[in-house]
Amino acid sequence: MTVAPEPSFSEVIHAPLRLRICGLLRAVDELDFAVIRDALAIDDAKLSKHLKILSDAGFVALRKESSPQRVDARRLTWVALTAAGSAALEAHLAALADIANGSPAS
Amino acid sequence: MANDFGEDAADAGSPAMTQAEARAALGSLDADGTALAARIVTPWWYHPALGVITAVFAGAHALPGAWPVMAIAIGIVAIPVLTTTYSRRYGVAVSKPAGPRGRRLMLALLAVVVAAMLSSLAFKLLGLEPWWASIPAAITFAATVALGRRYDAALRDEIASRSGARP
Repeated sequence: MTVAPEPSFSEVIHAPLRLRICGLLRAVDELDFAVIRDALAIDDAKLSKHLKILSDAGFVALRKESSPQRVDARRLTWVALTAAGSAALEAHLAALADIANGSPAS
Repeated sequence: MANDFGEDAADAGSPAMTQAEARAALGSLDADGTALAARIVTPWWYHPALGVITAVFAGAHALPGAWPVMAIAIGIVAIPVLTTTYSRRYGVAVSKPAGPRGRRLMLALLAVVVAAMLSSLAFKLLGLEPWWASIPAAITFAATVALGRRYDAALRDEIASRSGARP
């Protein structure tokens, strides 16, 4: 049985794009930078800016990997939620659900 | 996708949200989850390739001499090569089931592989001809392709819901 997270609003995750980035990462181990960019329909610079904020907060981890499919030797950038990021996201979603349901925010 | 509440206000760190804004935020996650799940398209060759590897695991014990160890070693190396090739190509890495349905299908496939390996080993211990091992190997191949495709469908459904606000 899983224990429901304690609702807790995260000001880092609160920004809409950062919430959506974390939401995408919630269901997978890792996503490529380009997949997140395309899913959110934003440009590289904007995604980089938000990933840096999440990374600085310790909520996401970035990992570079060479890509043999790419002739220009660009590297894949894999993005994953950290354990701290996952906990903060679950708590933030619980807080959002409370607000959405008309309960007082934590 | 547009949101009802402003990025600038959010960056300023204001946690004040209305009920409608909270619902819009949760709704955007559900839509993103559905879009992400739609991107997870397994290529036609993936399950047959995985089926060949699991069939090797299932039937290797019947091979003579050092071949079983070599065949299983090749299979152990081939699985991460296959999954890494897939992840790099599609930009999505998922190593575990996203929900209970996927978990059940993965356990069912694991049970088939283990049963087939034990059958193959039993055939060898009983002194049957090695070709008998092709039966559990063929069953394992078919089960991997069939259950693997169902697993992918379950994974897509469960990723679509897990990316959203639902627990």
